[in-house]
Parts: sequence; structure tokens; C-alpha cells
Amino acid sequence: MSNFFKPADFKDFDEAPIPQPLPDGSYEPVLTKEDLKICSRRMWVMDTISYAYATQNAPCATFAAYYALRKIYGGDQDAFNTAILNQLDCVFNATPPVCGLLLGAGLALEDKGHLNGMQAENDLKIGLMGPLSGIGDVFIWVLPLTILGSIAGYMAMEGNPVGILLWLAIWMAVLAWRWQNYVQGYDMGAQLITGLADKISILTDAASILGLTVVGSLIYSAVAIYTPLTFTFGDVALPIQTGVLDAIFPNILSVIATVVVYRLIKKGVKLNWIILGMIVISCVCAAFGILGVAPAA
Amino acid sequence: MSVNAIQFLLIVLLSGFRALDQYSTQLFPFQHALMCWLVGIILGDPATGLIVGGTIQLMSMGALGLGGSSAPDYGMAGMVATVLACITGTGDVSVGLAVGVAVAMLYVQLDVLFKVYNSWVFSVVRKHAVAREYNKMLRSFFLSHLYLFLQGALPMALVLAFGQPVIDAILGFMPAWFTTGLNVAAGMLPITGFAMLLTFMPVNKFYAFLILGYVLSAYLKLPVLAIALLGAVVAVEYFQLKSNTTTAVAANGAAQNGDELEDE
Repeated sequence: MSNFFKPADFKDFDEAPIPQPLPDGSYEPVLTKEDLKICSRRMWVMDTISYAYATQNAPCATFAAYYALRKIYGGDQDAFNTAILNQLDCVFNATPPVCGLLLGAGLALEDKGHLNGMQAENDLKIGLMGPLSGIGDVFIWVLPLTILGSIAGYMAMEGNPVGILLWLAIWMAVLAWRWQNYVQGYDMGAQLITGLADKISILTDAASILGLTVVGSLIYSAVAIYTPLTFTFGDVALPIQTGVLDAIFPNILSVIATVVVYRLIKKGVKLNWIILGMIVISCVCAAFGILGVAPAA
Repeated sequence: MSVNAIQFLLIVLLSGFRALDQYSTQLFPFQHALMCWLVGIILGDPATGLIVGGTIQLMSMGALGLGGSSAPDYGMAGMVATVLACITGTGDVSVGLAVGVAVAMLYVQLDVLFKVYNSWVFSVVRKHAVAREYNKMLRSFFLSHLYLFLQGALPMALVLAFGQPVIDAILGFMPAWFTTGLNVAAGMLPITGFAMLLTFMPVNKFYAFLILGYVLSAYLKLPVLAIALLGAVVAVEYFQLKSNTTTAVAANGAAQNGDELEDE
């Protein structure tokens, strides 16, 4: 068990060599299959447990990559510290059982480029986490839960646990796969950078385009700010949300709030204060009926 | 029936483990029927466990907390419902289920609080990372695990000790503005994630694509996967266009030096 979550050949800073760049400025990749499997297992222990609104799942990804990064940067403590803080700060969220594919690909970029590969790694993660989750959520959660869950539920209501056991067996197969999925991700990432070395900044821009498109769509679809206020002129009632705001611009409150929060972060306001402020504003506005929960469509 | 000490301990541990497992190891994610069955087995009434579990499992369809959203916690609901149904022992599961659903709703609020708590855990982790205390950093991650275990275990201990009146009391204690307020906040809080994300990206250079994504979603109502694919189309074309230009420039430079440059 000792090397289930930690590599057997782990070296501390003072024993590990300081990595030397190759003539072209890149580095000799050091991660082995075993190192990547350890990342997968560490990700499994974390999954999505560190989820916070600000950085989402980035801390889990950091915990998973810890020993891989230690191996990449060897005795170079400053570079390792930069890398670990980058992992913590780079917002990440994807369907946990499949996110190893993307995080493994990112590690491949960092393994080859070290700190120079970091920006490309971040952009790759941010750009592809939405699409990966779109596919992952369907194949890992929605489909199995709908199909296996209804079978298990119906059979259980009739007093038969076979459906439950069937679901359990299929899920164990998924678990066995996820315990090594960084390996496949790493291979994909390594292929991506071969022959692309000169074009990495263009690739970064292209990934940013993809990322911004997805973020733009999420500002509409994943944020819900609703006001139940209604103007009344005599007999005519005009609901502000559907009659005024949505007529100007759908979900305009979400856009305004996003711009405000973005500016606050840029100005250096601490995220925890922003979050606390949001909760206070929500409670106050809810108490006076200014904001509410949208009625189900 | 009454619950003996061993049953009490086993159910509290199972409840803590389930809450933890849902976010962490995911050995049995969303498998509410299984958990209720196990509670039934512990209490010596597997049949009731299966019936309650099956009902809760079907009720929970579609209640997935995906992409960081908060969903009613039907797992906790199922276990509480099973306990109450087994304790009352009348074979009538409806009271247990009603309380269970109230618990599920209550836990939506707890889920928001948990994610806010995680912001604090993150600040601890980051502080240790900056100070280069990596062993402390790695240990700090497990503050989240601890919290979730307690979030599952402690309320279950209360339910086992005091039963149904406790649930009614808690629900009655929370004022409406507070529960509504937390719901409103849950809808608003994902913004902090997107805004943070945007500070990492070249917004000034490519802000137009934010508008594109928003329009595709808000006006054309496309699902996120379709929008991502359209974004990929633009990204691929941009990449090819730009890398051809770079190659052409490089080719010009090479030609001036009198070298031959072959296409890749």
C-alpha cells in the first residue's frame, strides 16, 4: 500500500537532481506510468471534495499532481513552488471520474516544458474542461443513473436487491478504469505537443477562444438571478423579470453581476469577501422580496 | 423498536461515510437504494430498507449536483427515512419519506455552506503552499473530508437519538428569508468562479468570443456541448490560419538566407 498514493522512488528536495534544460529549452520528460497511476488514485481520494466557488476543483487537481510535480522539478524548490501555486490558482472543474484524461494531458505539457509549458497547460485545462464535462456528465452520471438507477429502484421497491448489485458491479469497472486514466491523458498530451512546439502560443490563443466561448455561454446557463418584483399601474401588472429585464437582454442581471465581480477581483478584493457579500445581499434582497427563486418553467 | 448501541454506531458511521463518499471516493455515488438497504440490514429490517430506498432512488432521478450546482441530498434523505420507518415499525413508510424529503431540502443549504467552508480550507492550503510547508499543505486538504463526515454523521446521530421532532424543530427554526436567501445565493455564487476564470484569460484580446458564447446560449438555447464544438471550430480555424501565416513568414525569412524550406 505504501506506493499506492506515493511513488516508491520518491526523493526529497535535497536528494533529487536539479533538472537541466535540453538545447531547445525543453526538458527530458520524467513521469512514468506508475507516477501517473498514482495521480489517478490521488484524484480518486479527492474527487470533488475541495470544491469551492472561487477555484472550483483546482485544489483536488493539485493534491493529485503533487508527487508528479515533485518529480518533474526535482531539486528546484523555487520552480516547484511556482508550479504548485499555479495548480492551486488555475480554476478547474470537470466530471471527476474522467478529468484525469485532461489533467494527465496537462502534466505532459508541464513535464516537457516545465514552467514554460504551464500557460499552455492552464489554457488546455480551461479550454477543454467544459467539453469534457459535457461528455463525462452524460456518460458517467446521467445515462448510468437513469438506466441503472431506475432498474435498481424498481427492483428494490419490489424487495429485490439484484438491481442494486448489478449497478454496483458496473460501477466497480468504471472505478478500475479511473484508477489509471492519467496514463491515457498523458499520452494524448504528449502527442499534442510533438510537432507543435513552435506553435504553442497560437495553440494557447486557440484554446482561449474555445474557453471564452464556453464561459460566455455558462454566464447565461449556469447563473440564476431572478427578481419577483412586479410594477403595477392600475389593473396592469408588469413583471420586471420577464417584462422588462429579459426584454432588454436575457439574464441581464447575471451579466451585470459577472462584470461587477470581475472588476472587484481585478481590483484585488478578496474572494471570500465577495462570496460573503453575495450571501448577505441575497438574504437581504430575499427578505424584502427584491430577489427570489425563479418558478420552475 | 429501539436501537441498540452497535446499531447506533454502525448507522452513524455509515451516514458519515456516505456523505464523504458522495464528494470524495465515489465508491457508491448516488446509489441511495444500496445505502437504505444497508441501513435496513443493520436495523434487522432489510425489506423496509429496500422499499424506502427504491422510492427515494426513483425520486432522485435528475437531482444531480453537476458542475458545482447544489442538488437536494436524497442519500441523506433515504437513510433518515429508512431509520424512521424502521423505528416506527408499522410498515408504513410514508411518514419516513415525508421527513426524508424535508431533510433533502435542508441539505441543499448545507451544501452551499460546505462550499463556502471550502473557501476557507483553500485559504489554509494556499497559505501552507506559499510558506512551502508541503506536508502541512497535504494534510490540510483533509479538513474538507472531516467536515463532510461530520455533516453526515452528526445529524444522523441526532435523528437516531431524538427522531422526528428534531427535524420539525430545525425546519421551524430557520426563517424564510434565510432559506430563500441561501437559494438565491446558490444561483449567484457560480459567478465568482467564472469571474475568477476570466482573470486568467486574455479577455481584452478575445472578448468577442464571450459575446458569441452568450448569444449561442441565451438566444439560440444551444446546449453547452454544441457551443463548445462551435468554439472548437473557430479555435481550429484560428490555429490553422495563424500557423500558416507563421510558416509563410518563416519561409520568407529562410528564402532571404538562400535556404530551402520544405513543407511539414
